[in-house]
Amino acid sequence: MKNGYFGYYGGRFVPETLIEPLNDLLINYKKLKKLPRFQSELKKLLADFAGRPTPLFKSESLSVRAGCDVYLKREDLAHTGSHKINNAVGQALVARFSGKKKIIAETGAGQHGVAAAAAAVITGLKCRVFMGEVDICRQQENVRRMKLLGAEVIPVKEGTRTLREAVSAAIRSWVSSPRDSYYLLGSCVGPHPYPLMVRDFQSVIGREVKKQLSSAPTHLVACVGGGSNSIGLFYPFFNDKNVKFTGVEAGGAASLKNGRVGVLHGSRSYLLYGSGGQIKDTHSVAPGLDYCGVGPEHSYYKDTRRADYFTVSDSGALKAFRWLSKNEGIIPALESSHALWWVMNNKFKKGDRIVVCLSGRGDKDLDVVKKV
Amino acid sequence: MNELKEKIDWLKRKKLTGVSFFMTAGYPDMETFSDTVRELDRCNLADFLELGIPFSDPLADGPVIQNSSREAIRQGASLGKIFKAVRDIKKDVSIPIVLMSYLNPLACDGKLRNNLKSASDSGFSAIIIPELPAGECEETEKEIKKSGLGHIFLAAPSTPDKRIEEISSKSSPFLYYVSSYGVTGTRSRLGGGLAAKLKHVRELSRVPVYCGFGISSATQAASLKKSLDGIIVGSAFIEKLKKKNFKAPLKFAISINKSLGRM
Repeated sequence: MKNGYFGYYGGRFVPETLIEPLNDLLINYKKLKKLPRFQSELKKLLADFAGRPTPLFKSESLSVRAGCDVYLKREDLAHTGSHKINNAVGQALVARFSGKKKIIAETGAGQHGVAAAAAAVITGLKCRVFMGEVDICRQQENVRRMKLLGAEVIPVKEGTRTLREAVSAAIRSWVSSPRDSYYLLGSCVGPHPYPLMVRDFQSVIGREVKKQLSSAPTHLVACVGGGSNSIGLFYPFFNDKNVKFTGVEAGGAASLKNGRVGVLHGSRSYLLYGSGGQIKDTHSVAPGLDYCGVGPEHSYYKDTRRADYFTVSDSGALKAFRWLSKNEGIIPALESSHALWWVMNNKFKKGDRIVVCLSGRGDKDLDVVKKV
Repeated sequence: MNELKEKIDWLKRKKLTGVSFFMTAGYPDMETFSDTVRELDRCNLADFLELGIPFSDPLADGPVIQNSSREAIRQGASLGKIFKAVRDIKKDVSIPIVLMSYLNPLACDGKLRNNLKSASDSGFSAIIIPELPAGECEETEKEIKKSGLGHIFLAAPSTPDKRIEEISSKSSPFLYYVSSYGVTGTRSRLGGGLAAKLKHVRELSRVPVYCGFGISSATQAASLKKSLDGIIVGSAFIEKLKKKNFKAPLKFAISINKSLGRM
């Protein structure tokens, strides 16, 4: 496999200005991976700051509905309310060990923005978050949290004013000051080595599941926007061919299901575009899934059929959101609700053991749900 | 390709500073765009032109080119229409034209080879892909070579010397040096020591060095004259096209030419 690629996907399709910073990042990251001081600090932050390991909870009501054992990986209980903290803490440490003073981040739902802001505080870095105006309106709680954590939130007013434009704005900002800023990308997208690095930091999810289950799962299910919580759950089981991977996309933003191969935001992957290659506008009730592309490793999993990808509509996600709240006492994020709805509506065998990644908590979504 | 290479070589021999303007194809509308190209050629105000294929998500571009791209797309500018417009223009215009495109409009749905052929047939001389750094995709580099189009690569302030040499050996007929960190668009001042940096890049480069990104005034152009082979002005020129009339851009082009002692 060519360096920086997952099969045909990935790469570094970025302006020349970023090539040297990306080379430096890769070299630094490889060194840090082997540095005991870095690893012990990461371990400590994940345990004492982020609250890991997160529990693996057997959901009785979902088990009854699916006709087999269903477990929820409780990333909603991680600090700042989602799996995003795993990567934010990891990369903020990379930034600090690399001598950077400032981090730049993009955010859709605001979950990564909040995680990045918190990680910046604990590692002593300044934080600037780019967020689309539409997302600012629908996720105001998170905007307030980021500000309280001392981050500067910059509204992105171009185009769709959602995650896609926020990523572009963050990359443009990084091109302007690559020497003193660190770009803390929140999903397994973007140029190499981001997809690799984000997957590594998120793999703590799958590694914990491995330890927490007495016998191997048969199905792993997670929602896919950029795809970071799913890749984090899947990857540690990659070589375990009896474990089926299922990714669930939002119906209105299903790059794996409905996209074609293209290049955006620094990598080659499945992408939603119209005739002439112009990127399509997407829609999802879950801002974290409202993205036109997907991580290159998922594109590779799709082509090699290592994972299957399905879609769930807004209304399905909303039903699962309410259902889990009423039946299990857990309010799931609208993003994770897509994965839940898929499990609730599929047939399984009696002995199956399903792990669903409950990637985040749904408190942030109450306003969105009220308006629907 | 040849007419651009001949022009670049000729400028080098004559020790003249080359001048080029970047325009978003189809902006402010297809007619004004075509008229402006013709006028620049008629008045001999540019050695070649760089035409950008509008893309919905232009990562390397600042607000001016983002907006001009959005507007051109809104009006229906497409690769096909742009090729047709350029084919018409080239019937009576001798100025060499360079295509600038992001990858997705050019290579989507496996159409790279066809699109490169159409570009060449329409009269484009060379191509610039701002998000295709040298060495990233040999497949694409090979296709461009086969098409007969020149392939112009970018080098940036962050590019190490050794890589500048490598990039320049692939870049034809010139190397595009990015003036400073950041996206396209006017800057109140260019990075410190740009003139010295350009001299150094020229020593390393095997081909002439043209500089762009942020060069927006006659004063800036004049200050760089001795350090480079040519300049490319984009956003500042496009801004003059807002009024859908070629008078303001022409006046601006004259001021740039004067500052380089070409008029």
